[in-house]
Amino acid sequence: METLAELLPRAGGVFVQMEDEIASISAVIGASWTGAKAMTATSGPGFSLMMEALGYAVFTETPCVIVDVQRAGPCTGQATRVGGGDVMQCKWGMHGDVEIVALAPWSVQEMYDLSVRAFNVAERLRLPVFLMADEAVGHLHETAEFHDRIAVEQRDRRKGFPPFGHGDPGGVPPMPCFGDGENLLVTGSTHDERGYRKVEEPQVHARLVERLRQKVLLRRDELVDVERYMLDDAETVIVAYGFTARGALAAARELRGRGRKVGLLRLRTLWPFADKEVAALDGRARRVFVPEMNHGQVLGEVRKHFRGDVAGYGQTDGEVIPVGTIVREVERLT
Amino acid sequence: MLTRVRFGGLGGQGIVLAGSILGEAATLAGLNAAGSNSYGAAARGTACRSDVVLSDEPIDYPHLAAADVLAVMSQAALEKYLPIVTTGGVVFVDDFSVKAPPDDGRRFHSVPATATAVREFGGRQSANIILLGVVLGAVDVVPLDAVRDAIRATVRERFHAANLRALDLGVELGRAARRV
Repeated sequence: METLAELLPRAGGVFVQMEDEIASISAVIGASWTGAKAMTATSGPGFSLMMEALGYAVFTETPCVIVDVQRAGPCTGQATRVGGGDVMQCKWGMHGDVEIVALAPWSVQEMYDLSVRAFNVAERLRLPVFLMADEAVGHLHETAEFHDRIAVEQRDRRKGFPPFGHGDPGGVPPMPCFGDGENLLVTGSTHDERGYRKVEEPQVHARLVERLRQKVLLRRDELVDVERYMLDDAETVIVAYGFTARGALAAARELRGRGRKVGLLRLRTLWPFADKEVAALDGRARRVFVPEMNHGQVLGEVRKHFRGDVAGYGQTDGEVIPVGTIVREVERLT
Repeated sequence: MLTRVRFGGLGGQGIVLAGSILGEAATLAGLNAAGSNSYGAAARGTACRSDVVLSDEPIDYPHLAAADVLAVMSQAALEKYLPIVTTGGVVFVDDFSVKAPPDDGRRFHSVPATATAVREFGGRQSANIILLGVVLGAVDVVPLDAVRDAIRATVRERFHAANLRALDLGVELGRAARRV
């Protein structure tokens, strides 16, 4: 954020420091409705403070990017230590039924690449996209390649269409912005396709909520992003994400060196969940092992979709899971 | 080839800067580098470390489970970090504040980093760069020209000359240690 404060104004952007996280995410939503690509970053309880407004962003279909550098919680916890306990929060922290997109970078390179992707997905789907980093990735220094040109999704700002849908289930309506000359009504209450409040009509509510869900679910194949390492003959598959996946990759290679058939399915998206990709391990792998810096938030999702043996290892002491620990835990299973 | 380096000392000694320059230099030299530092209160007064992993291959795991090179500027850092040094690893200690431990299969080099800084620059501030030079003089990890470029890219311009000289002084100490 300090770097952005320095660099953004030089590139024609605006950096604003607000008084707290509620104000920050609200300012991001407002900025987005003026046509700007807008983001904020937070950690720990700051993420909790943003939840109400994030629900508003989902419901008003406001593109924005939220970087959450997960740390040891709950509450203030260990403010400078690593954690991974916000996986479920970014999906379910807002009340009501929502579908969002959450990406999980594991390197400095991906903090950059997936930030670009997050903005593009946010614009394409008109919704908040989460970059679910963790402290270990956030504080990593690493060789990375930055590009002179990047592919940027331009917002569809066409006027004259209903800004909140037009009968297409899962459709993403155009989003004219404040100042474009359209008569815009933006509300967090149930609204019809033109934005008029319709808080008493069950069909309007059901139609809106379902479209917002289907916007993501119908596109899951283009959104879900995994990497596969040494899976062809793997009897044991480690499913991991974020910094832990790097330890898992090192562990898998070490275990291969000891003759164990171990592979890694690395989740680069947390949400929508890689259900088909996990289910595809069925019948090939005997068991799945899920190490994570929480007590089983992705483990539970894996259990829903893989019918073989599933075991997890949760560590929440503010330290990353050592490679040796993953090696030991996998050896214990096999 | 993978080389894992840890700098250790007290917050304020420039430990993090030494690691950052090494990582930057490796990147400029076309190697892959990954690093992490103490963050928070630890970086500001008490025990502090900076880790750098260097490799000509992509780096799977960017943290240190073991170190091939340890360079320390405080007794506490030596005692805390010595267990992660591999057998056959190299340890550099600043003789101003650290008592060299008995030889145990690892190679120890006790070098006058702080003493040289005080003698040549009238203060301790350059001891970190001298110690970085010692490492680079004794172990072939990164070409020195890349380190000089990294210093120019990292340190404020008015400190370039002093830091480049401190580096050279350290490299000489390192080369001497290598011959022992």
